[in-house]
Amino acid sequence: MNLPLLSVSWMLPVAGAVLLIFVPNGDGRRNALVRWITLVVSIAVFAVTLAMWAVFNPGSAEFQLVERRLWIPAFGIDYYLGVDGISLLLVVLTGFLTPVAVLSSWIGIEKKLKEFCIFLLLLEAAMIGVFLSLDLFLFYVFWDAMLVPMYFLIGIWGYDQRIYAAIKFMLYTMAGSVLMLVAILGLAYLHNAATGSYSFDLLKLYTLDIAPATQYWFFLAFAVAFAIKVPLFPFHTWLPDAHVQAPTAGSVILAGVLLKMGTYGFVRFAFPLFPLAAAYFAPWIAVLAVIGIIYGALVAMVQPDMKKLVAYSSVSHLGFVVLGICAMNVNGLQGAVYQMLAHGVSTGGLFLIVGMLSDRRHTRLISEFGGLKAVMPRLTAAFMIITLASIGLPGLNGFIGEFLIMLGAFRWDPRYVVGAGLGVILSAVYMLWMFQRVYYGKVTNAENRGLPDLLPHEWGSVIPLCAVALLMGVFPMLFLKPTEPSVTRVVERMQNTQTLRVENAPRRPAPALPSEVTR
Amino acid sequence: MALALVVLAIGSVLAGYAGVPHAIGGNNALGAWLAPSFAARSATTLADQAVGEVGEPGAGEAGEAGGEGLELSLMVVSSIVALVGIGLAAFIWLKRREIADKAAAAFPGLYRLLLNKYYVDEVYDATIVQPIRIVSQEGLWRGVDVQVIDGAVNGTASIVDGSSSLLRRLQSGSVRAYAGSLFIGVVLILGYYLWR
Repeated sequence: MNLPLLSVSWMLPVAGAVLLIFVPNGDGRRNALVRWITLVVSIAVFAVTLAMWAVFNPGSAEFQLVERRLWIPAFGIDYYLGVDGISLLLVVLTGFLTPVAVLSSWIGIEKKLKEFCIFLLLLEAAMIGVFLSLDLFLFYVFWDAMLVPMYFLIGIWGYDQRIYAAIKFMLYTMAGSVLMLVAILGLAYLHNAATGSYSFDLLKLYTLDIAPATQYWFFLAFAVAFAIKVPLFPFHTWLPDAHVQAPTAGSVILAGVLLKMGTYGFVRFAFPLFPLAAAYFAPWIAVLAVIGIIYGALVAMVQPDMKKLVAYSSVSHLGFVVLGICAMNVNGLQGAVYQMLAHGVSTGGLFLIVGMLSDRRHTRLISEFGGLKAVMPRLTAAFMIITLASIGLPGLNGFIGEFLIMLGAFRWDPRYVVGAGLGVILSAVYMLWMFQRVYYGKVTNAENRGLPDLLPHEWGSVIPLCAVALLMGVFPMLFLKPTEPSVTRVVERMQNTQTLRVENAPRRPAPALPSEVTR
Repeated sequence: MALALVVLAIGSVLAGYAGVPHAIGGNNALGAWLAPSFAARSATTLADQAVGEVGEPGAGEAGEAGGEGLELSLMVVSSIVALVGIGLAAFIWLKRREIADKAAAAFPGLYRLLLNKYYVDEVYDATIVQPIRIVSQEGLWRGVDVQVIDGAVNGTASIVDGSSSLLRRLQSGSVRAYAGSLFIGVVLILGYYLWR
């Protein structure tokens, strides 16, 4: 295998975007060509990510398909890519959701279509880059590069309040990532102090022995950046605005992939780089996660706007993921990774179908709908499947992740699971209540009577989503197996460091830490 | 729908025979079904159980002997109650409909209570559903989310915006104003050093 798959996976969408620049499409002519080019490129990228999965050795916890070139040698900055079980599936998810997003904008976007497609492809490239980077500097470049296309996607093709939402999204995320940049530079400085040379190499920085007090500050800097991205309560208020104002493709990508960057950041960077700080703060982060689970669900329940409801449901679901990470055991972490994928598929699907309704009626208010079951039975069936997946019905994707997370959290501290369990019930409440008001009953609004059912390009995006939701529900080992060695490695790395630093550490290291500080 | 009811009716007639009471010479096939799930898990509960088992046999037999009479009489009474109820309902609803209306008119309060299933749904709605909904809508969403958290976020933006527009006034572009402020600055600095 001589093809550098990882580089290809993020450079291919960039090449597609560059190709699109040269397609003359001034007044909307050749829109069809632009769409097809984008779709073909995004499917090709998906194929590359699948090829990555095919050559990936699921038995190994090491980073694989590693590519490394010197970039800025004076500061130890490398172009350093690699994939392990955790990032592999997130890259595949990105590859999977981008064609879905392209199809979702098949007829909805008419204005400046070429630019829209260019930004979508650049966004995909940056997202893949974030997941593959093993050099913190490179990671930061991709992390911030991702904001720009998203900013324009929301700001140009969004709904009424798009400018406000775009700026809010940008500033919120920047505020967090600047803190992270400081911590990244601090890590390179510490590496220089310890070894005499700068390095942004993640694997080298893992081995760095950092004093507890420093760990706390650096951890917090990373954690704020990631908590905003997740979003963890109370850093979540950019999310309803951004999700609601974004065009459907933007919402699908935002919910499906971008939110996972926060939780991925916790797993890849914040927790293993600063294990002592992670152990110290994990109980508090878990409290915020449980608050987010219940709070997100309660606020989702009373939203009059379908898109906002789904947006707040993401706050609730991502709370589960963070809880699983905080448990810091194999069950919890595996559940967290699984739930990231499951949420990407099911919430991506929810935004997709809400977008279809919104395209047809130009409103997203639940009260405007009702009785759609009789008008568009196929769309209703698809929404039902995705709804049940989102609730976590056994046999669909949401169940496995939530179950593993609660299992892991229970082994850590059962009290958190009480709150999380409440969130499971509430998720059924808000999702089924919305489903009932939108699809059941009589058609009360005459405007809903003649709405068309699923169109061909909509079949193209709905079928893969439902199929994957089902596949993940009945055959979870397919996705759990490649992640297991990497997850175990992360857990071991944190536990080893904690026991090294804190002699005779109890099973729950948190209470032991204050003594560590005072010593 | 009717078919489902037929299946359920067959089941409800036959399912009882899985456990025929001792009193009429039967045997409960499901009596010990879940016993393995409640096996002792620790030494202490094992010990407790042993004590219980030692003390139990006599009491158990006595209970069984006394229980057979009790079981029989309960069976008879409950069967009679059920049959009377079925008979009464059949008589009233199939033969003499007006009795039901008269009874309803005679006890209007009781009738409404029963008709509305003891208002369980209404009580549940008023004490649990509506409070959660209202607190979520007015307290959590419009209060905490929009006012407090987003208020802080937008407040930060307004503070930056407000202080910037104040500072902007310094950048008037008027050369005379700049020269004036330069002059005042020089006077102040020199004055400080002279009068110190």
